[in-house]
Amino acid sequence: MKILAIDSATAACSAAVWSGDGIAAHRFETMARGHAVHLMPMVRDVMAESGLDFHDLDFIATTTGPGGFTGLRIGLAAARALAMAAKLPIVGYSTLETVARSPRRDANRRPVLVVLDAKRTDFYFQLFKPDGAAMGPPATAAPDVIAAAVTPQNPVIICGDGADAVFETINAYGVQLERSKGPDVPDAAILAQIAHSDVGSDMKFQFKSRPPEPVYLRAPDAALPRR
Amino acid sequence: MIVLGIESSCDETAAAIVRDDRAILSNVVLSQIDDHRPYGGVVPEIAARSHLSHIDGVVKQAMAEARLSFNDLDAVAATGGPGLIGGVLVGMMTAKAIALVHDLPLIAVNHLEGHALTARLTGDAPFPYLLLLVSGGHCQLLDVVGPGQYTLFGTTVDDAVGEAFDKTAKLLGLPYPGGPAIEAAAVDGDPKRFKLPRPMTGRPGCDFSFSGLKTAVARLVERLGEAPLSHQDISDIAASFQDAAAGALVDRTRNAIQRHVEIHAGIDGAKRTLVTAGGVASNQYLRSALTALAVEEGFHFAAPPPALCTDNAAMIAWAGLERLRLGLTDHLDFAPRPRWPLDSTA
Repeated sequence: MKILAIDSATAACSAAVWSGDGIAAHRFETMARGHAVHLMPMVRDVMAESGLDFHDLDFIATTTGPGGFTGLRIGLAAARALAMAAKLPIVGYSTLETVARSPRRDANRRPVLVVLDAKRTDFYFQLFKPDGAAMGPPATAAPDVIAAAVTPQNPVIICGDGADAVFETINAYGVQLERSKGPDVPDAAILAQIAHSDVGSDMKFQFKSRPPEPVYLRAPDAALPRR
Repeated sequence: MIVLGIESSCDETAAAIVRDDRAILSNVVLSQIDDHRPYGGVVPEIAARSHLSHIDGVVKQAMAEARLSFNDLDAVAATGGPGLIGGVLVGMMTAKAIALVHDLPLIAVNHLEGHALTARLTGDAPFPYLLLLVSGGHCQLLDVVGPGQYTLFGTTVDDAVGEAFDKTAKLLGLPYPGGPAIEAAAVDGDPKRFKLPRPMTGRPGCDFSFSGLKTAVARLVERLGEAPLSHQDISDIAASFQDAAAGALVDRTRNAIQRHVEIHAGIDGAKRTLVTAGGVASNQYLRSALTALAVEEGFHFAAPPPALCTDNAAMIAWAGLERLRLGLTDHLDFAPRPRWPLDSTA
């Protein structure tokens, strides 16, 4: 199976090609801005390095957010247009799921709480079972609301680039947290691996089941004029 | 040569395909006006979300209407700025992706250059020519020497003329967007009933100002009293406003014509051309006034048809084509520019 995966939804930008049974080429850079500049050259480079043509690919995988509105749109616009131009299927994975399912040795048989920085007082979060299945919908909330949502689970592995900022608050609620040393932001290489595993293990996998639709979790800032 | 153009810098998601013989093979424009109307103006985040939702469909439709596949293209052009950056990014990433997959040249087009060169797609406008660029975001007089070669003669010191149309429409209770609403209301109006200021008129130079005109309309509406404005009042104010705005634009353009003639003294007088472009250039009253000015000054007058004055992607494809001919292409690491003046020295 050959997959091109990309992500630019959070404070990193990456592209990777999965070919056969492993990653054939990979670029990853942490960056606060500049995703629109770096993403497509990364895609060009991983394609060139893997020696593949776009028509050799089986599908494209992209993150869908939540994350920076601008960043997630850069990745989604790129991924969708690559799929359109190369006539390939496309799958979308949320950034929260991508981080939750990143390989981490310390996550054995514990729920995983992913908390991502939303650049506000609220954070994006979602709780996952040890096998990576979601335990609830993704949401955006203040640290004490996240703590209340997590309390029934104990102990919990916490990860994501917002984990450190909420750690103390959630800990104060009596939830025993273990800070994972694994990846805190999505990485296209891991996304490719997850997508490969899902598509490869499910004979009936439907690309439509994971549409490349944006996950904003927040309405646009816009006030209706007063009459 | 066949070029795909993509435009997404404001509230229109658009894709078009043009050929070097000036044939527009397709021209798809999806307006978001209904999404923004409740807010009385364009909301950037709503616009960006809408662009992402629709861009692929709009590009596919443009390809289908032209009966072409991506392999038939010679280049992909997209608006690279100026404009609302969230939307520009969506269009630019889409263009980069198509260019990469099909190994096509990428051209990042300045949205204003798209407007500036449209008259060459829809008619004859040999370089150099004088351009009056009038829209909701811009109001400029430019000397156009060639693609990428512009000298700014004048710009607005406050509001763009399109903003003045929008704000006047709001004061009169007319719907958004204001330009077409004012033009429609003015049809049965008396442009002489109210004397409104024509800012900067008679002064040297080519700069504009429209905030005073807008304020004068606000005072006038206030003065007319508590009762709701009658249909005739609205029409007369719209007509008087339109007349004042056109009068100010004509006055400044006359000064620019003189400067253009001085700079290009060696050029055959029979080839001198005044071009107007941008959303406000679709206003028929203004077009008539500019036509009269051009006749008076011995200039040809060229203006794209109204549908190609407002934002569209045919103009982006055409500007891309003109740049492609000169080898002015861009790389996959092009950084979209929220601000991007045509004259970088101004």
